[in-house]
Amino acid sequence: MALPAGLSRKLGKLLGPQWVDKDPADLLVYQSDGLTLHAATPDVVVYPETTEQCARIIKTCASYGAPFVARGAGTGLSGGAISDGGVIIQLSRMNRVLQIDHRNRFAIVQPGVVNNYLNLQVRPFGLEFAPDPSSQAACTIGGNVAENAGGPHTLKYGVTSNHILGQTVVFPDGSIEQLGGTFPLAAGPDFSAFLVGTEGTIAITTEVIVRLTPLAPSVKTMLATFPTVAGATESVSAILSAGVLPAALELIDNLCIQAVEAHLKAGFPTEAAAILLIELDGEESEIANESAPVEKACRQNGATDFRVAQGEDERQQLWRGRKHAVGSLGKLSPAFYTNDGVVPRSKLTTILSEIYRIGSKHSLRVANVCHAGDGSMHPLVLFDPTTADGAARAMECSEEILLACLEIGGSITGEHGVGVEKRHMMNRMFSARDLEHMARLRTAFNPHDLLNPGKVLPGGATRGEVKAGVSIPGGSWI
Amino acid sequence: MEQNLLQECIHCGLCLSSCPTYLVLGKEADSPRGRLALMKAIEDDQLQGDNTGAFAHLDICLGCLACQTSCPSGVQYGHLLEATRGYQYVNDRQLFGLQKPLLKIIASPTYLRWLSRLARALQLIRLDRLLIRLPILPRPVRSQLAGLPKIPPQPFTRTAPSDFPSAAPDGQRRGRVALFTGCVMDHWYGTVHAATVRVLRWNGYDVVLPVDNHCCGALHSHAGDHDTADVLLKNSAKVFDQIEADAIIINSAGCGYQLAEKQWHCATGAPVIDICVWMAANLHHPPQTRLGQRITYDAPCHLFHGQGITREPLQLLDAACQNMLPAPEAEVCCGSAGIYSITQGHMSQQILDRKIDNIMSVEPRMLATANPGCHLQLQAGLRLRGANVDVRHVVEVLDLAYQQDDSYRRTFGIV
Amino acid sequence: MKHTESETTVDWPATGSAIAPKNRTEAATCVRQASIDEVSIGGPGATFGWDLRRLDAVISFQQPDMVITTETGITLAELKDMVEEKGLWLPLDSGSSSAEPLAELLMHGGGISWLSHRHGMPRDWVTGMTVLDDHGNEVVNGAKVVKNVAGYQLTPLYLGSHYLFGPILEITFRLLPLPKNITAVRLTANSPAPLLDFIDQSRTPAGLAGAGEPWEGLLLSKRGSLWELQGFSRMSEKGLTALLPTEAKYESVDLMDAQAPPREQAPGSAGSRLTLQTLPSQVRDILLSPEVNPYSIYCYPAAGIIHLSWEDEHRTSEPLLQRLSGSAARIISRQTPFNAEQIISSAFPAAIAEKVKQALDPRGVFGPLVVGQ
Repeated sequence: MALPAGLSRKLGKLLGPQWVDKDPADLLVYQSDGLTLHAATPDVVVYPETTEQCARIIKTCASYGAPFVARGAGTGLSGGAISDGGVIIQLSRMNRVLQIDHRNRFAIVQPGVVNNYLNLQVRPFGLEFAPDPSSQAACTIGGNVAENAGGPHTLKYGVTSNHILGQTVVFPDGSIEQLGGTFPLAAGPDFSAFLVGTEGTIAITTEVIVRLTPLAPSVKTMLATFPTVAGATESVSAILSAGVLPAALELIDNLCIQAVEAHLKAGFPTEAAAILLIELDGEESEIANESAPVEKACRQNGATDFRVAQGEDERQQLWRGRKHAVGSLGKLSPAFYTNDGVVPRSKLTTILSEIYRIGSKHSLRVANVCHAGDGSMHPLVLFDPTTADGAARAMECSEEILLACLEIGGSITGEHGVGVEKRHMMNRMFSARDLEHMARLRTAFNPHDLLNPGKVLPGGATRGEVKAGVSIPGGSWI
Repeated sequence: MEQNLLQECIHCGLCLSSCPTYLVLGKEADSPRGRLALMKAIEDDQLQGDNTGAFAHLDICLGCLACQTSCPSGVQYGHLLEATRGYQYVNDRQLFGLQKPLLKIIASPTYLRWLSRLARALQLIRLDRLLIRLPILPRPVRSQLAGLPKIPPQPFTRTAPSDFPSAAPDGQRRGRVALFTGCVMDHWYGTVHAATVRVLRWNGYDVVLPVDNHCCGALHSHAGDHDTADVLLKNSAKVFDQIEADAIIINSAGCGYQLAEKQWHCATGAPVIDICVWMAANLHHPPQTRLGQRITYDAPCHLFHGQGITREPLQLLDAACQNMLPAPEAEVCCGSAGIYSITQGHMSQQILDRKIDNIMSVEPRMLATANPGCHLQLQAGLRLRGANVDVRHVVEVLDLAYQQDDSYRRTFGIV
Repeated sequence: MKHTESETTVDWPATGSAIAPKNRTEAATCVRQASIDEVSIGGPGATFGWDLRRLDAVISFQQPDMVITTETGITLAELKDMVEEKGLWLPLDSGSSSAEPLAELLMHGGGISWLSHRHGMPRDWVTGMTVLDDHGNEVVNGAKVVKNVAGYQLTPLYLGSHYLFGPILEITFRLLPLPKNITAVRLTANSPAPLLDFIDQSRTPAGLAGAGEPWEGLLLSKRGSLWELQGFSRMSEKGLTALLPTEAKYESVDLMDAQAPPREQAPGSAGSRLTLQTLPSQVRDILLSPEVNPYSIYCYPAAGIIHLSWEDEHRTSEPLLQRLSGSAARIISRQTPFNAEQIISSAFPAAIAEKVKQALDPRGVFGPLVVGQ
């Protein structure tokens, strides 16, 4: 789509020409976020520094009828931050922590603050921002808000929506609104909470008030080895049934273990069919009370080895293996496709055997890392991008896996969002009426569909076609 | 270029927040992931034959390799960057006006000597002090002048004997090592060499200095001038062929990385080991009193990211200082990056500003590092900021701790 | 009220009374009929209210899935009994009348309790819901699994909306394992100061490792002249005892091990009520101020919620309000202790509320949006 003449000049006046990119080399790098199967090139990228600049950019774009998309670090895995033509509002320069109130346990940050960076700032006060997506070293708080990001520790501490107290946002008409505040609770309807997870299709977040959570006084990380996948999945239920709520409860299957050990040497047993990484946190006596039932649950379900990480180094090593598990897969396969289905916890065994069955039906290898405690699956479909139909077959296989998740009462996405990637599957999960109900809100606040068009909800204006067929699909944090 | 190596990037973006230019500019094209996409675009000719825009972003890459540390897929970014720059160096010789003459000066002992004399002359008549304060001079130039150490009249190897016997307090001799004296280190940072020699001797090692050891070609490799680098690497290998030693000790992180990366070795097969690693393993006589002043450490990229030497410098500083305080972003580049501070002076200074903010947030009296480029850059940043912070090589800090001991000072004739 | 005699299938009761459908179909019929008859059901200012007590089915409850889906006519207490029997826990307390159906609690912004500083509010535990839209259609939002980001989550708009966008018929909560080895504590003192000291001390992170949040539930109250702190924790009795300052400022200390977490007991009724919200760090100032002295106090100190009540209808709250005017505190309710009265707040400004109302109920089937008080 050609950009209206004069728009980029106006934007240049607003921000200074160095903060308006429109050369091919500058735009090319914005073709995809963490998901490279979908690519689209914007016409202009702008880099505002303040809420007011964002509002003026949006007003300018709106007056030209040009679509616009907010983008953080571009680590998303559903193509939510790509723009086919139009303007990308890149928020990386809005990266300041504005206030930390450790007594009242909140912080006010700009949206471009990196999740990990915020945590480094608040840790000296014994606090943390609890959502910990595996991309936390790079992903931004604004992106976490847009996607309602999760992570391994959300099992105990909840997802992003549980940790946002308020926001300053700019609506597609350029109006600025401050929502919520620093009080820890909001009794009535909460529009800021509603905005969390709307994937930047209702408003653009330019400031966030986040809840901070006290760090646990002690942590214990355990690794249980299983000769069968079912043993591991059954243990998950057994642990939770024993009344233990681990801080994290992760499952990694053999193929993923192979990749990690080939690359990182995290100390995962390569002969295991699956391992569980279990982390308990809390007061020492509390952890002591919980360890025995956890070990018992694993042993009763056939764990051949149960090991407690000795010291912080070993713990970090295990987590590094987990957090880089997907990245390591690059060593086993030139390409893979990352999925994000969810199933009820009791259906873990069922879905995993279903996933392996679907994989072999398509003659594709599928590796699994899951936030097992949440029933949140990340099947990774390995494929060869050099064959003509490699990517297409991987996508077909993935779609079948997601349908299997739906069939047993799950969801097509637990963490990564719908974006452009799963838009066509929304009507498999929701009825037309359900979707219409959601769309009413988008129409109310984004009436001309200028803000992040063609995302999340099927129907509505789709600007241009999203191109498939880039050779390297991505995604490493899950 | 190696298409396969480019394919290893899965576009996850985990590298973004580790990249100094991305931290300053916030632009994808100035991030490692963006640069890999641009390398691919150049390779596949996606930019309709006009690669100038893409090269501009590759040029302001520091080559600090922080992205390699954060990459979950093990993408060999440094390798890819040097390959692209080699392509660029051959195809577009006019890219920087300054780059080639500078590299020539460094490659030649004679030219470097003249440059050093010029700098020394400036310092003797105190013209450098004046120039630093001249606002009309571009800041990168003032920064270079401010960062220069006090240039000695002669390179270290010209004044020192070629063989030092061990001088351990217990009289025990533990081995014999050679010192890779290099170019800039030898001409400008003789004090670091002197400290290195003392510390080694005090811990029981004979130290041999090579004759006519010069540049290892690290800066040439980074710039893509692979032919010159090869010649320089070969020349430095010859120098060590005749020297019998347990190890070749190196006290410049950039050179250490170059030698490791190019699998450099001499005929004797003696391993090249960074002074920090060697001393951390062989600190047979730790200082008896530790230094009291507050100190922080800034990790040279080619030590931390390039060679994965992360703990040893801290171990040594711990042995030498009571009051070690980590500064934020200590493993992020200072903007020196070899001749980058000259060829990309503006960007370099922006990165340096952020670095100095971080360092000053812990209010140190002394700052330790382990590479001549960083040494100069950090000292420049601190001086221009008016901060009274002494920049020292880690081994110098260790030496200072030893110097609190009379017998150490007596042994080495320090008054 | 206009009645279209021929078509109607609903016999409308007297204006101002509540519609009590016996099942979901009937509820849907009422909404359809209401739009024909130009009456409204739901929000403040509507012709009728909702009474959903007869929609009390448990739709699904699989213990290993740790989620429960029920209709909203059952009470929170009933729901909690049900899940606790299976070793699970919904960390919400009603803090008010236990006879109130879930629908009322959710719609009136209830569910702020002594657990809230740690476990948040109902919206933090809802994963999905079924609502009636303005055409009387059942609409599903969210999912019945614990993690789901497919589409927009409308729960935060519906909870606390006073039925303004329609009733929630069915709701899914995620659950926790029922904590075992709970230690409950009760301290009494003649002044709030030592109790507040204890709270601060127990909640201040000690160094880098952090202290965690020791309290699952925390409640400070004053009746007559006696102050009482009630709390319960996952910490051991030994751990909690270690936090107690040694000076004997307390009148009494009770520490007891309990198997299951205790429930919050709502305070007895009083004449007039006022609920304040403030930052946790300001609670001390307010509680120690002479202006609050005459009141009975019921406070969630870690959540910044202070509820004041007094028997004497005629007592003026002027001095207190004057004191608060300069502080960060705000009044969230003047009547019922734990429910938000107002739909409009900083989290839901009027302009936005109007747009949402226009989107979800343009014809006002669920009553008019009344902005301002």
